[in-house]
Amino acid sequence: MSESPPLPDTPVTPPSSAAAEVVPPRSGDVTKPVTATGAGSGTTRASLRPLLLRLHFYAGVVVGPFLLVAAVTGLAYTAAPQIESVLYEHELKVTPRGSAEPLAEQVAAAERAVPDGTLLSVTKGAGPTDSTRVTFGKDGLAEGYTLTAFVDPYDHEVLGTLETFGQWLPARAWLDDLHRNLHLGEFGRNYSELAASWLWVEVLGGLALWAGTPRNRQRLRRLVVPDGGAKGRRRTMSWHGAVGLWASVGLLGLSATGLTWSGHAGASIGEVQDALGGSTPAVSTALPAVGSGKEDAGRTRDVGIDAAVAAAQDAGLRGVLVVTPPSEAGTAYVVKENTRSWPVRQDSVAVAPATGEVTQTLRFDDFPVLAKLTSWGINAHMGLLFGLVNQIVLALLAIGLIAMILWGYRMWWLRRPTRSEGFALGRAPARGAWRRIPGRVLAPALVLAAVIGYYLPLFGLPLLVFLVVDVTVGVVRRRGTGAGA
Amino acid sequence: MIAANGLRWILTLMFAAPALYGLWRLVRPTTGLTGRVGHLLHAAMGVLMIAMAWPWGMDLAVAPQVVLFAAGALWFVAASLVWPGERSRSGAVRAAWPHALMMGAMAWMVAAMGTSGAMAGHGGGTGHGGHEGHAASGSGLASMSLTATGPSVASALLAVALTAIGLVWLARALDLARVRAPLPAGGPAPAGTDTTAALDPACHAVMALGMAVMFALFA
Repeated sequence: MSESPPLPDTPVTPPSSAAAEVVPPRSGDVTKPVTATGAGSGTTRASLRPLLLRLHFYAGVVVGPFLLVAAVTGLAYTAAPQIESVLYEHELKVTPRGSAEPLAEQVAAAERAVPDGTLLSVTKGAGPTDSTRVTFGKDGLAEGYTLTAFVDPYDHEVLGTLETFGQWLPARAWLDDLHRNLHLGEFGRNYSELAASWLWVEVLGGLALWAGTPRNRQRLRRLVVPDGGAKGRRRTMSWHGAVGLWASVGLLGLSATGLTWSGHAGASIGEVQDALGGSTPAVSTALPAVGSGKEDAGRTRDVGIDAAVAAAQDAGLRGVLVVTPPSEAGTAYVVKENTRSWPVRQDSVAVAPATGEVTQTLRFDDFPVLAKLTSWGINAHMGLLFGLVNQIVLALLAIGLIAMILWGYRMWWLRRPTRSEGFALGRAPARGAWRRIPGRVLAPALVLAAVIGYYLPLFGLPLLVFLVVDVTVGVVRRRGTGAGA
Repeated sequence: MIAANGLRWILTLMFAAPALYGLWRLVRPTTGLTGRVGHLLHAAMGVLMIAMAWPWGMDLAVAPQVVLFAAGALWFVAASLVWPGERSRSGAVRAAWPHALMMGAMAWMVAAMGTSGAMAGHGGGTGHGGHEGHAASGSGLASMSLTATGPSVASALLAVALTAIGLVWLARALDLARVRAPLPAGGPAPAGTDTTAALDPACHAVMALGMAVMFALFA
C-alpha cells in the first residue's frame, strides 16, 4: 500500500484482467499455472454457467428429498376435495324439502349437541343441498382445531360433529398437516419452508441452464420436447429439462405462495406486505359511538343472527356466508362471503346487533392489489381457485416435480465412474467456477443472495453452511495437493 | 437502535470486521501517517455504527460524534488534495469522496437521531427514550425511523448511494482476491506478493453496505 494517499491502501485501479495481474514466476520457483479470474475472461453469461450448474447440482442433491416429500404430500392433497365429499357426504349434503328453518333455531340445535362449546361462527351453505356448519371452540382440542356441528337446515337435525381445522374437515386437515409439517408440529414446518425456499432457486437455475444451452434452430424444439432418440444420461436430461420448462411457472407460483405460509419467511413476507400497504384488511367489529342515553339499550338488544344475515344479503353478499356473532357486548356481527373459487367473493360487512344495520362494508374489489394476489395465489395453491382444473394442474405439477427429482438423481447416478472398483458417486461439477465471474456481476449477486437469505432464512442459512463447508474442503484439498488457490 | 435481534447481530459482525481491520492497519509499522488517520477514522466509524445498533449506543453524546465525523469527512477531502501520493490530485479526490460521503453520512445520521430525541444529549438528555420497549417488541426491523419527509428521503438516497459504493468496492475486492500469483508448490506466496490487497476494499464494502442497511431502516 502506498502511504501517500489519505486512504487505506488499495490499488489505484482494480486489475482490468487477471492476466494483467499475474506475477511473473521467479527463477527457481516451481509454479503452478496461473488461473484467470473473472475480471475479464469470457462473457458474463458463459462464466456464470459453471457456477449455476454447481449450485443447481448441489441444491438438487441436498434439497431434493425435501422437495420430493413436499411433492408427494402435495399430490395427495390435490385429491382432498373428492376424499372429503365421499367421507363426509352424510354431514355435508342434505335433501332439499320446503323452506329452511331460521338460522337461530339451527344454532340452538347445534348448541344442544355441543353443550360445553363456545360458539365461534356459523356457516350458511350456498346451495339448497348444503348443510349449515356451526363451529365451536372447545377445551382439549389441538391448537387451531375447532368442533363443528353439521345441521340440516330443513329440520335442524344435527347430522354429526367433526373436529375441523379452519374450514377443513378431518381428512383434509390431516393431509394439510402432512404436507405442511409431516405431523411434526412447529419443527416440522421447517421441512416445507426449506423446500419452498429452494424450489424457486432450483427452477430458475435449471431454466437458465436449460434455456441457455447453445442450440441451433433445428434443435430448438428440444427445449420444449424431450428428445426421444437420445440415449442414457442425455435422454434423462432431455426429459428433466423439457418437463422443467413446462412446469416452471407453476412451480415458481407454488414456491412463492408456499413461502407466505411458512414460519420464518412468512413473517418476513408479512412485514414487507404490511410495509407496502398490501396486508389483507378486515372489517372492524367496533360499533359507532351512540348517545349516552341509547348506549345501554344498544349493548343489550340483539336482532339475532337471521337479521344479521338478511342485512348482509341486502348489502349484496351472496354464496357461502360465514357469520361471526358478537364476541362481547358492544361489538358487531361480522358476515363474510367465503367463495374461494373464481370469481372470488370475499366481501364482508359488520352489522350492529341492536339495529340490524350495516355499520361497515369491505369489498374484495377494494382490497390492495397485494392482498388480492395473496388471496388468489393461496386459493390456487390449495386447488380451490379453478375447481377441478386447478386440482388437475396441481397434480400434474406434483407428478412433474417428482419425476424431475428422480431424473435428477438418475443423472447423478449415470455420471458415476464405471471403471473404478467398488461403489462411487457421480462427479460434482468442478469447483472454482466463481473465479471466472467478473466482480461487477458477482458482487451484486452476493448482496442479493444475502438480502434474500436474510428474509428467507432457510435459503440463507443452508447456503451459508454449504459455502463454508465447500470453501473449507477446497482449502484442505489445495493444501493437500499443494495447488494454488 | 435496531430492534430485530438477528439483524442487530449481523450488523454488529459487519461493522466489527472493518473496525478490527482498521485497528490492525493502524498498528502496522508499514502504515504511514495519513493512512493511520484514515484507518483510525474507519475503526471509530465501525465502533460507533455498532453502538448505533444497540440500546446502549443511544446513551452516547451526540455532539462529539457529529464533530468527529464531520472532521473525518473534511480530513479525507483535504488529505486527498494536499497529499495525493501516487495518484493525480483528481484521482486522489475521486478515491477519497466515498470515504468523505460515508463520514458525512454518519455525522448526519447521528445528528438526525439526536434531533428526533432518540439519543442522549438532546431534549434534556433523557437517554433511553423508551427504547427498551422497542427492543422487547421485536416486531419491526428497527426502532430508528424518521417521520419527517425530508430527512426520510435523504436517508433513502444515502442508502442507495452507499449500496452503489459498497457494490463497487465489493466488486473490486473480489477481483483483487482472485488474482492468483504463481505459488511455489505447497509453499507460501513469494516475497513481495500482497496477499491482503483485497482486504481494504472488502472492509470498505462491508462498512458501506452495513451503513446502507442502517439508512434504509432509518428512512
